[in-house]
Amino acid sequence: MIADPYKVLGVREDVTDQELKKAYRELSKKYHPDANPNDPKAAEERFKDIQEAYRQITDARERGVSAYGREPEPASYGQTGSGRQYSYKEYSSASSAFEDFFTQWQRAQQEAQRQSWQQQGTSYSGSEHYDNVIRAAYNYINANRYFEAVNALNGISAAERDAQWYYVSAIANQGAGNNITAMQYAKRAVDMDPSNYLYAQLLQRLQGGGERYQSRGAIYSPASSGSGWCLSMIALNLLCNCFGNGFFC
Amino acid sequence: MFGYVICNKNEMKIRDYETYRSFYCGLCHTLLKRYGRKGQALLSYDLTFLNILLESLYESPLTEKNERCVVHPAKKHHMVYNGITEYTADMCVLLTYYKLLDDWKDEHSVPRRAGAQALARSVRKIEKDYPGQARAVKECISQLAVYEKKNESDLDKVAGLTGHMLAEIFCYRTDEWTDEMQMIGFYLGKYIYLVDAYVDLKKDTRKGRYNVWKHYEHRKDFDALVENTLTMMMSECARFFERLPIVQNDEILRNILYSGVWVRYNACKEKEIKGTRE
Repeated sequence: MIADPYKVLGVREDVTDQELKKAYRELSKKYHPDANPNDPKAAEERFKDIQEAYRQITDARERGVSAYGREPEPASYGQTGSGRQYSYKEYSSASSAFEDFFTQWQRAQQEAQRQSWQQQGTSYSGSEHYDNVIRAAYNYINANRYFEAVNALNGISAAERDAQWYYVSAIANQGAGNNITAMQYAKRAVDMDPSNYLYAQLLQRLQGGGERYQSRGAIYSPASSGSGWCLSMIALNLLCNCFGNGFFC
Repeated sequence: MFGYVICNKNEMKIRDYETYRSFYCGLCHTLLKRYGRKGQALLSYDLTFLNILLESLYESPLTEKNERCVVHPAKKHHMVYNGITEYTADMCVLLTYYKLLDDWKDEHSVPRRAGAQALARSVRKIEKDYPGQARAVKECISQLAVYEKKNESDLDKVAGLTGHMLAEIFCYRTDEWTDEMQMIGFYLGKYIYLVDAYVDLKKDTRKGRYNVWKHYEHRKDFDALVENTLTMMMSECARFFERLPIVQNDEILRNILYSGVWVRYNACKEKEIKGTRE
């Protein structure tokens, strides 16, 4: 985390998205290792900082929080330290919007666990198998291994699936790209336990994306087929395609 | 499955539309140069989108030309292209080849098979150059057949195949933006699959063909379900797009992602409404 990412990019806090991107492009061109044959190592360090600063501001703006760097999370929270919020190669696509989430529920979970272990030494929900699966799922999620989290969670029988299962499964599925399932599960978690603010917050985040998209899209009037534009586009495409062996005709 | 990632021309500045056409013509020109007439026939707006996206991300120098084209011989057309256009052209061929093979398997259409055979040699070279992409396309098509056979109802599962395929196609190279590009491709792929299935629903029902939406069309809230699902896909796609440091052609790209992709869906819905009124 960079303490002042705006300084790194040489921009003000109220910089527009467009200006931010321009600033990033100029600096990254300047400090790209390939463009600095005299001292590629130093350039690479600077390049990484520029990248991280850009990402930090972009993430923060998406989530509506401050972009200034915080104290790094202690290693026990299970961060991979890879620096990347998501990695498609592992069938995962963590929304960095969940970073705050993880911090919150990690603390909540650790607190609940600490309390229950102190009190009774027995699990606070359901069978031991269930607890192990939930714990494993959390660990997989922390490591951005969403596909494995989903698999582990699917090992719980339908009868045992409570609000917590749906909540954790929503996060795991969202990370694995199964956003339709994730939304369904988040709704289910809220239905089963309406008083839980974490569940409500997750649902709100998942729904927020769609709302943001629709408001950005509202500036465009929908093309009506009556204008003939739509048909002409498709016809034009076909015409260009048909010239040739015509296997589309 | 092609022809959904188009622009909303009425909502575009003329200057931007001309730029859009320059990229389209540049892709056509590259397909012709690399694969001849049969390659030119594979031109699509969908891959023009990918071309513009990559060009805007990397801002590599473009070759510009004004040339007459055989399809539009009346006047010269402005076209732009470079190495990225060559990649996009290769992906056009890859996607179409396997689609043709798949169609031939389904429909035993001889022209489809002839089309596939004509491209076979070119495809072998592309497979060597881009093994990841080739593998993803093959896997998608073969796994889709499996899901169709068992009449799969899970939307994420079936749409995810096209998502996975496009994620790899969008992966022009491995660098600091690979994750974003893959996510854009993934969710766009899911959108394309689902919107295409929706548009084809009546036809597939008539012909007794598999269509994932068949599992849901009895629901009272079916129309809302479709629209919400499609919106979920595009919102994720657009979200990852906005993370890219793109400053050129961003109005074109936004027109496509926020409006253009809905053009055919809206046309289909309008037809439905007109149909039920009559």
